[in-house]
Amino acid sequence: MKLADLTSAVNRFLFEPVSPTPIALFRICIGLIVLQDVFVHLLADFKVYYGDYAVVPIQSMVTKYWAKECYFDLMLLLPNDENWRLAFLFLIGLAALFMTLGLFSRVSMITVFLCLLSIDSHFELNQNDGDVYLRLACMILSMSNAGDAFSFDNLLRACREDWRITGFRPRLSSPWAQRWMQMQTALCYWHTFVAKMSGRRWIDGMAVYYTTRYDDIIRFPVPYFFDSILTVKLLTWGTLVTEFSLWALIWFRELRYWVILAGLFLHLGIEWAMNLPMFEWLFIASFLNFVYPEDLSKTMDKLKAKVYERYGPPRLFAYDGNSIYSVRAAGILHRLDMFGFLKLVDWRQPESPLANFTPSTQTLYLEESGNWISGPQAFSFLTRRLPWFMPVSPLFTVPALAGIGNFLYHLVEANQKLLLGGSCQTSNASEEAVPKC
Amino acid sequence: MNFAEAELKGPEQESLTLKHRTSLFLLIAAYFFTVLVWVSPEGRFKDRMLRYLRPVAQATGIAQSWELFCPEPREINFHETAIINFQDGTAKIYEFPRMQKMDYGERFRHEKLRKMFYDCMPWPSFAQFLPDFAKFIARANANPNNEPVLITFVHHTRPMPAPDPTHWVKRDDLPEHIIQTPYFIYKVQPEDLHETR
Repeated sequence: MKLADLTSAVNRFLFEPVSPTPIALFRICIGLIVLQDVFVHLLADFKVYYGDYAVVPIQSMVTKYWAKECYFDLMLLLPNDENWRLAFLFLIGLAALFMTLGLFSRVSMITVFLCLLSIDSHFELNQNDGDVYLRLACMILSMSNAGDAFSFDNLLRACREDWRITGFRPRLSSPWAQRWMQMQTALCYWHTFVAKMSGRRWIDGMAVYYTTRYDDIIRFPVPYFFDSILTVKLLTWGTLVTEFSLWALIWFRELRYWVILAGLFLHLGIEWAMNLPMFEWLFIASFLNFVYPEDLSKTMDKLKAKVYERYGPPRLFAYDGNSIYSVRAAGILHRLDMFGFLKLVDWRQPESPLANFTPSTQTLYLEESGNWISGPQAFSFLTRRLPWFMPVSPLFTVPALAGIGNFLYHLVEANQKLLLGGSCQTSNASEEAVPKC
Repeated sequence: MNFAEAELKGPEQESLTLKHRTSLFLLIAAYFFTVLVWVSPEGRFKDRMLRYLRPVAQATGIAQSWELFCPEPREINFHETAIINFQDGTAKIYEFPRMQKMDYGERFRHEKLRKMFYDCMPWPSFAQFLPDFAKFIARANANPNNEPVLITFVHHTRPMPAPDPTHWVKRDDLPEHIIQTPYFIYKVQPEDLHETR
C-alpha cells in the first residue's frame, strides 16, 4: 500500500460529497432530545441545581470542582438571579426547537452547544454520560451541514430559487462532520468494550444479573425467562459481542445494518429495563449517521409506493411556468409533500396537455377525480393530504371557520410577491405579477 | 429541467480547497488524539500529555469516559438519608429522593436527582461537596424557633443476593438496605441558614 492510497482513502472517507440527509435526521433527533433534557429533566428540579439556594452554589463549584482548570460558562455573565438562569434555560429550549426545525440551523446549533456546555459546567453533579454525549453531538453538529436538508432554512431558500434550475435534492457536501460523529460513536463502544473486557463479571457472564438489579434505575418488569443463569450469561456475552460489532464491524457495508439491528435490540432492551433517560435514544439516533443516503431514498420510495397503493397515484398539480411565483409555490408544496401526493405539471408546456384544464387567475390548480379544483378549494384538499398543513385543516373544512381559512388563503395569495419574490436565476419565468389568462 | 428531472437533481456540490481539507483533517485528528489520551490507562505518557491537553478538553467539554457498568458492575444497592438534629434535642430523618419509591413518570423526570444524590454525593471523589449538601438540608429545615444544629449523612446499603439458581431472587424482590453507616457529620453554623449564591 502506498502513502498516496492512504491519503486518497482518507480523502474519500472524509470529503467525497454525499447527501446530508442522514445527518439532517440526526440533527432533528438530537434537537428533540435537547428539548426533552431542558423541559423534562432540567426544568423539573431547576431550583435545586441553578436556583438562588441551589444545592451547590456556583462559588463552591468553581473552587471545589473547577479548581484551576478552564471551564466554559456563559451563565457566569448573567446577573446573579435565578430568573436570568431560568431565561437561559428557555433560551436553550428555543434554540433546540429551532435546531429541530432547521431554522437558522447554524446559529441554533452553535447556541445549543455553547449553552449546554455552560449549563453542564455550571452544575456538574447532575451530568450523566448522556449529557456528555449530547454535548459532543451538538458540538459536531454545529460545525456540520446538518441544516442542508429537512429544514426550514432549506424551505426559505426555496422561496427564492427556481427549482427548475436548482432541482429538489439537497446540496451534496463533504461529510466530514458526519464521519466525525460516526467515529465518536464507535469510540464510545470501543471504550466501553475495552473497559468491560477487564471486568471479571463481564467475562464470567454474570454482569447483566447485577446491572439489572440496580434498584435505583429499575424501570419496567422484565419477562420471567430472564431469571435464569443461562439467559443472564447469554445477555452478558451478547452485550459484549454487540458492543464489539458496533465499533469494529459496523464499517463493513455488508454487515452494517445487521450490526445496527443488534445495537437497536441492545439499546431498546436497556431502555425497557433501566431508567436512563436520553442515553439509549442518543445512541439509537446515532445509528442514523451510519445509514447510507441511497438506502434512505429507497426506503422513502417504498413508503411512497405504499401510500400510492392506499390513496391512489399522485394528483396532478398544475403550475404556471411563466410565473416565478407559481413555480416557487409549486416547489414549496412539493418540498412539503413528503409522501409524494403531488405531481407537478407546467400547464403552459405543450407536451403535457391537461385534460379538462381551463386556467383562470388562481395560483393553485389540483386534479381531483378527473376534475380540476383551484384556489382555496385546492388548498383545502392539500390540508387534508400534506401532514405539515394538517393543523390548519379545520380552517378550511369546518364550515364555521371557513371564512378565516379563505381570508388567510387570499392574504397569502395577495402577498405572494413579498413571500416568494426576490431575485433568482430563472429559466423562462417572469418575475412580474401572475399573468392574466 | 422538468419536474421528473428536478426530483433527481440538487444544487451544485460545494468543493473544499486542499487547505480547508487539511485543516479539517488536523482538527479531527487532534480531537481524537486528545480523547484517546483522556480515556487511556493511567501512566506517565498520559500524565505528561494531559498537562497540555487537559485545559483544552475541559474548556471545550470534550472530556469523556464510557465506563457505564464497567469494569465491574456494583454488587450492592443503597440509599441515603440525613439525620437533622435541632436545638431542642429533637431529630428528624430526611430520605433523599429514592427512585424505586416513585412512579414511572416521576422517576423519568427526576433522574438527575438520582445522579446527584446517589451517583455523586456519597462517593469519595465528590466528598468536597458534602458540606454544601449538608447546608442545603439545613436551609431546607430552617426554623427561627428551633434551628437545625447538626446534620449527619447515613449510607444504607445491602449486597445484592448472589446469583444462586437454588435461591434465585427476582429483581422485584430485592431486599431492603438495612446496613447503616454514618459517613459525614456537619455542625450547622448560623450563617449557613441564610447562605445564597
